[in-house]
Amino acid sequence: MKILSAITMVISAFALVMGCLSLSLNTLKAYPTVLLFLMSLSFFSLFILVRQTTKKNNWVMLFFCILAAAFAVLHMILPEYLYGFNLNAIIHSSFISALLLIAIATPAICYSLFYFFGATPKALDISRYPLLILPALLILIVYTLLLAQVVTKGVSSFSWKILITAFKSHNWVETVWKDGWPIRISHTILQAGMLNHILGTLLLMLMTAIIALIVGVGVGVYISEYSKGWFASTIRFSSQVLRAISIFILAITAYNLVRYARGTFLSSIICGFYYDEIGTKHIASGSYLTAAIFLALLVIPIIANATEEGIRSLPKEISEGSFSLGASREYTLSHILLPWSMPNIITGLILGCAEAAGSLTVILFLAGTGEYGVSPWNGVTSLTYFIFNGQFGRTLGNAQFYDLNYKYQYMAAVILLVITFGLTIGALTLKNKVARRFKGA
Amino acid sequence: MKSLTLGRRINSQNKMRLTWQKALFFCLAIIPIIVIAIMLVLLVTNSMAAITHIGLFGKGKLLSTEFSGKFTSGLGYYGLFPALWGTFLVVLLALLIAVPVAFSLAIIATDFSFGFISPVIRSVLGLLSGIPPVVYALTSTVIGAIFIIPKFCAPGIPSNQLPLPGMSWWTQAMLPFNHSTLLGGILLALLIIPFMAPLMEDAIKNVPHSLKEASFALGANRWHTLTTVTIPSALSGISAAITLGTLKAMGDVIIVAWVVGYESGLPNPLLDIFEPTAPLTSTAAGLAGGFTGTGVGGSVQASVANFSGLILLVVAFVILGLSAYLQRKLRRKYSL
Repeated sequence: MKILSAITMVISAFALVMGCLSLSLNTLKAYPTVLLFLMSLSFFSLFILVRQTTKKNNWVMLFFCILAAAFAVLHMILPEYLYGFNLNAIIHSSFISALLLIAIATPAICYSLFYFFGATPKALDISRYPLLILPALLILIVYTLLLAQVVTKGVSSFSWKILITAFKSHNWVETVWKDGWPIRISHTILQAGMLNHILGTLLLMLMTAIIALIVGVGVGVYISEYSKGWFASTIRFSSQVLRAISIFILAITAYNLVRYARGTFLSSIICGFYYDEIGTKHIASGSYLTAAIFLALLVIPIIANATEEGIRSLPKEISEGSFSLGASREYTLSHILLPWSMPNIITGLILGCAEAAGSLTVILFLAGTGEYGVSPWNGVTSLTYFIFNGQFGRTLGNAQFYDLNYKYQYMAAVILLVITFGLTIGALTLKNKVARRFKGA
Repeated sequence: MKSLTLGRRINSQNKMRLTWQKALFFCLAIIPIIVIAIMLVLLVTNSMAAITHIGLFGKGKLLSTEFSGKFTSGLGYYGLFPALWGTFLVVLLALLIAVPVAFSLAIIATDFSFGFISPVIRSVLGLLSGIPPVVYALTSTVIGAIFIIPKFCAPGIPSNQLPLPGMSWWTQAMLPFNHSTLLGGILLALLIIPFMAPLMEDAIKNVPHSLKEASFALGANRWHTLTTVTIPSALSGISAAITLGTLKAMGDVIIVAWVVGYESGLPNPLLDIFEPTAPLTSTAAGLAGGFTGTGVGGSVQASVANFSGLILLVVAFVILGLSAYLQRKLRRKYSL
């Protein structure tokens, strides 16, 4: 029994690896039929052996045996390219064979593990591990490939010059008086760079953090300390709705707001403005302030939740001790509750900042190239928009932007990943520290 | 005990009194409500123009299948049904891939953990959840190169010998190289797996330990306990996680605009995932001028974009309501 199940295990593990490989390779045509027949055979012999030793028929194994044989025959008569039914693809047969191999090899490896470890209840536990590990492993491989692509391309295209110069694409006409005649000289500056995008991302994170911290802590404190019943649950529900509704609705609202504000006295603040080389004032499509407010709406629920959780996790004795010593509610709040929940709040804040750095959807309609400087009233831009613009070329002609900045998309992605990963790692370590503190208390 | 009740009384007295701090916190706390009200009002008022000028039902109206994009040449058709269908397809694909994977990750991290695997998975998921959507969109070429092109684009055949399935508009350029609903679904799944898995993990972890111990004491093994005790009692939390993942996948614009497109049209067999069927979000963002230039979208297009935002909101609320109903039912069925 042990030998047979070990042989089955080896065959099916090989088949599993082959199946996963032929999800991306086209050249493994010879193996699947043989492997499927072998698995069918080993299923059948396991079935016979189990029948002899336990006097019971395991019909599921027989079913898999027949299925494997049928799949092997099916794979033999499969043409190399499948098309038809008006489908917009020519499916290579190795895709089908990969699916067949995985569908048979997974139960085969489970059964062989089960009988290898003696068909006990504990062996059943062990035999379920392949079912759980296979999808996780596959998806982790995919993530690794994606990140490896970004990192290798980003590092190979890294250049300090791009990092410390700001992107510029200006055309302006200068009028010079010469002998009493006006002479117009047209100037053009065209330079690649991402300094303003990086600074813009940092500014956006900072402003989002400040706005979201004030409002989020206020919401959390009000829910847990000052109100009860339906009003508190209404506020909690609305802050959860802000988190749950799709980000696109926030983006559309920002778009509406900017459209309304254009032309009114608020346009300098909401839409943002800049002065070009000859000093004419232009209105941008959205300022850092507007973008930060809308990003903060995304972060407020996180911080409110963190504050509420932090306050709830405070042992009752401490706040009651404070009250019994005659402290007022506000004193208790500022000296006990908020310091206690500070790690939670900061964790939420850091995660929110990472989200603000990476979220392009909210600022999609507001962002521009950000070539006229970085301040709360300037037109908003961020690294995400740099990457986006390399693909869609929205604010410039596609060709122009393509030539200048397309090469550095991956570099921008690496910088963005460094920012978000750094923030996330910080938040995670802080969270672990908080967990340890609760254990100590 | 006496001091406790006294403290509670002072507590409640403090709660009644209006202080400036309380007023301040009240002002901050109603901000989410005000924002949601403003958003709703803006969405409805802006989409009124589309409803009154274009109309809801009929050929080329807002809820019909004609959209002046890829397939129809006439101008001014704003039927949003293809876009809704695209959203459905892309989100369904993403969930089909993401739910089993996130579920298995959650189980490995909790009940079936071995060695140091559990904290490793948790930190890896935490890190992966920080990857911005635009980076996923940027790396769509990798998935194209390792999966889509070898399997579905017939790379071995020269382009003049391609087997033509008898479509008039069919060319090799239409093959799903880097634009297809399938690619969008895969990338959205990659986006929502690190988001859903920790939520599922929490749901599994929140199952009372006494239940599992009772199951072990009755002689059940770990797998049996998992399938008959842990999963049924964690089902409401798991469905909440799936709901949040669905909403996140639905609301994404960048990935779907990048790899699926923003001009919607119904696919020819309705379930053809190899065709790019642009979902609602990217279609609306394209109408509002999100990909072609700022301020390009005219007022009618902007109004249609608002109307699709409204549809998205309605769909999101329907999903949230259904999920809340399901969760309540599950909790009643499997509670102690």
